[in-house]
Amino acid sequence: MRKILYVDYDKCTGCELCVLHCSFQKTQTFSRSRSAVRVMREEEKGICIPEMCQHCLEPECLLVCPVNAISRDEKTGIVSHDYNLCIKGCKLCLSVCPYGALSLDPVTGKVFECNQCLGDPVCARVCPIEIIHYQKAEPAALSDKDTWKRRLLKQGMGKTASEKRFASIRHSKGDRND
Amino acid sequence: MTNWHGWAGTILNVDLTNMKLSREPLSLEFAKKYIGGCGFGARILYDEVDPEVAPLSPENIIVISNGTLSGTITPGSSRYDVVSKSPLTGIYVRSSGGGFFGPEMKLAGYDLIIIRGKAAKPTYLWINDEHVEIRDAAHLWGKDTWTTQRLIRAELDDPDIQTLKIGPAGENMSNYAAIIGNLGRAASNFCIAAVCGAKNLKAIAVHGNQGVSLAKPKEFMALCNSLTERVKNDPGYEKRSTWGTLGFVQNPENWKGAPNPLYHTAFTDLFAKNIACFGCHFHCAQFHQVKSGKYQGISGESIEGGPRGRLMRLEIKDPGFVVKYNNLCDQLGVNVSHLAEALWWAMKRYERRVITREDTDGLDLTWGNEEIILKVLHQVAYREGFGETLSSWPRGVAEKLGKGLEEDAPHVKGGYHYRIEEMENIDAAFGLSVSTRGGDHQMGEASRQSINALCDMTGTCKWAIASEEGICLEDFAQLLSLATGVDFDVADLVKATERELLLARAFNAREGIRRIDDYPYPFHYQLKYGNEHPHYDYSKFGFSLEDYDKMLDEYYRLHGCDLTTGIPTREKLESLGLKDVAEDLARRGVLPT
Repeated sequence: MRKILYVDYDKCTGCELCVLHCSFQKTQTFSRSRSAVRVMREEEKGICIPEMCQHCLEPECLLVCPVNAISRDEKTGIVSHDYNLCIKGCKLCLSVCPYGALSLDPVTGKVFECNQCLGDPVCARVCPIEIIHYQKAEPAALSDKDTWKRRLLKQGMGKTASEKRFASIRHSKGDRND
Repeated sequence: MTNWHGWAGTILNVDLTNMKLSREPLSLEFAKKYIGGCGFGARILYDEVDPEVAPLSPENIIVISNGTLSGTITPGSSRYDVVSKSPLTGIYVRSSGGGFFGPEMKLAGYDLIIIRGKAAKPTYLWINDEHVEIRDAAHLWGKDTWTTQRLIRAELDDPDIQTLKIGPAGENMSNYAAIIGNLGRAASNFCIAAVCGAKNLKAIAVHGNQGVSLAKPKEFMALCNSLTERVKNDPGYEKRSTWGTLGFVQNPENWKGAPNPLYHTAFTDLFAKNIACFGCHFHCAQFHQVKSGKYQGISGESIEGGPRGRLMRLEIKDPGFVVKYNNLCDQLGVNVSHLAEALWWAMKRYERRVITREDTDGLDLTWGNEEIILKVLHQVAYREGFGETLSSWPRGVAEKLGKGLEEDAPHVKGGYHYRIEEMENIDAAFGLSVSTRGGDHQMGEASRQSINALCDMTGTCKWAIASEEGICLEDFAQLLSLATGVDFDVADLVKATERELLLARAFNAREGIRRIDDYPYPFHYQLKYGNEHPHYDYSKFGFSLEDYDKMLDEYYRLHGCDLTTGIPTREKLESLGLKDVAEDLARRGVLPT
């Protein structure tokens, strides 16, 4: 059964504890760039939006990957990378993600993927105001991609989400080295 | 190279005069001894800034020192300290700021940024891990802090950049200038921003891609989780985390017999959501949107209880104005509280006709006059008109206006003694008066000095940890040990906080600070001029000069300071491993014999 991470971001305080716990889970360090969650913000409007892989039904990243390293598990709905195939650094998947949810590990050069912590996502567990929900993808929520896009556009951010993400990783080590 | 845990392990030296940058490894001995934050800052400042150095001269330095636990998930650990010689007081100052800058600096790999010299033209510093660059800031000079941040992010094409910057107030070297992080996370006290202005340093931009590594990650995580639970289970958590310092005033229900116009409930209609500093579950700041009234359409964050209370004293009744004032202060880079106190002082004297329109350049300083408040705010930032007169507030403003000495604003070591009404409470008055940076409560009552210094060393927020059970010295010892891999016990931490305290006292002693400067203003005045201050009724104070003297003696004995002068003794300094400081004081003829 497919489950998704749903964020009620209107209330998000932008503390980035989800980011820190995610990076700790994956790297045993605290880092903003080595995390599968990223918080996009418009400070002057008070907007903070935690972004993570939405495990789309028709992932654009999967479609563009030149070496077919990205696959989607039909049973769980999880979209994952095969690092044996990944050519590390082409960043096509990053550039097409409509949410700018993917990021590049500056240390290994790999794409950071969210595997929903194999069924117990730490971001949902640690959120101090409990706005990250790990829930069944109900028929209504299945159009989540659509809802997100509309919401982002409403905030004037939709168009630039992936561009912004891309700009931000331009200054990361992984990028400079390749 | 040592594999660093907790600390990032690198110092960044910035020489603006010669436009030179160098990275230098942190020494483990140094790190163990001074821990971080203001501990590092106090030592470096003592070594590099002599009494001959004028605060606004190129020889003064700015030390931006990260908290040791900054960037981790320790409750409230997002803070850094800025240490320098203050243009306002002429003595040691440490000012702490929150938000995202400290952690980002840690992620870029730096514990310390030391800024020396003076740039020939406006510049800003861009730090991206090991890539560091001094860039031209001609196009940023004169811009407000919010625009500056926006322009830097656009120019470097990176929305994740965190910045520290000064506004027009800092550029003009105003005594009200504040360093602003994010939109309103200020390190504002005692105007280090003016030192940045004097150095032609407009901003520091940083984006880090590394991680904070820990010596014992699993144990550290478990401890942080349990501490977070402890803080969250505190009975006051909900109110403190939702309303921050806004929820706390001395007379919540009434203000001069009427319902308190700026009690936190007055902000309910404006409340949009909470905003947090980096990695903090406390989210005590609020994002406000003014939906009606004169200031409709304005939105902003992080209004603190301090400026709110001070504006209330100016008879401000509209919460919308508080948002407006707060935003404008943040944009111009002005200290919200310092200015509101100065205005109260001026309005009080205007009411008593000690100050007239001639003194104020025609400004009508009547209570609650919103337009005039905003006008003075502009004037202090740009140092024009009455704003320039107010620049010598609190110490020396009476002289500048040609009034009697007794009209000076109450001060301790040149910093405003703002809780003068608390002369009924000896603990509060004491902490404020012995504070090494001048009149100020952030260093804590005498009883909390160690833990407060430790907060500033580790980069932990005093507000976030202060629950009923709180986070105590034992917890800090454990946190630091697990994070850094160096074994710290409580005694080590207390010693480190004493080092910071005594280094600051020794620094101040070189600047001429003596026992008489450790008194609350009315007593300081009495001791200095031989008669009681005509404005205060000494019989109404909660304690006498004798009581205070006794407490001060005990404090000096406790911290190994000479009873007559208040200067640290050789014995004490040597016991803390500060023999070189004792030698230095002796060489200058300051060490008590």
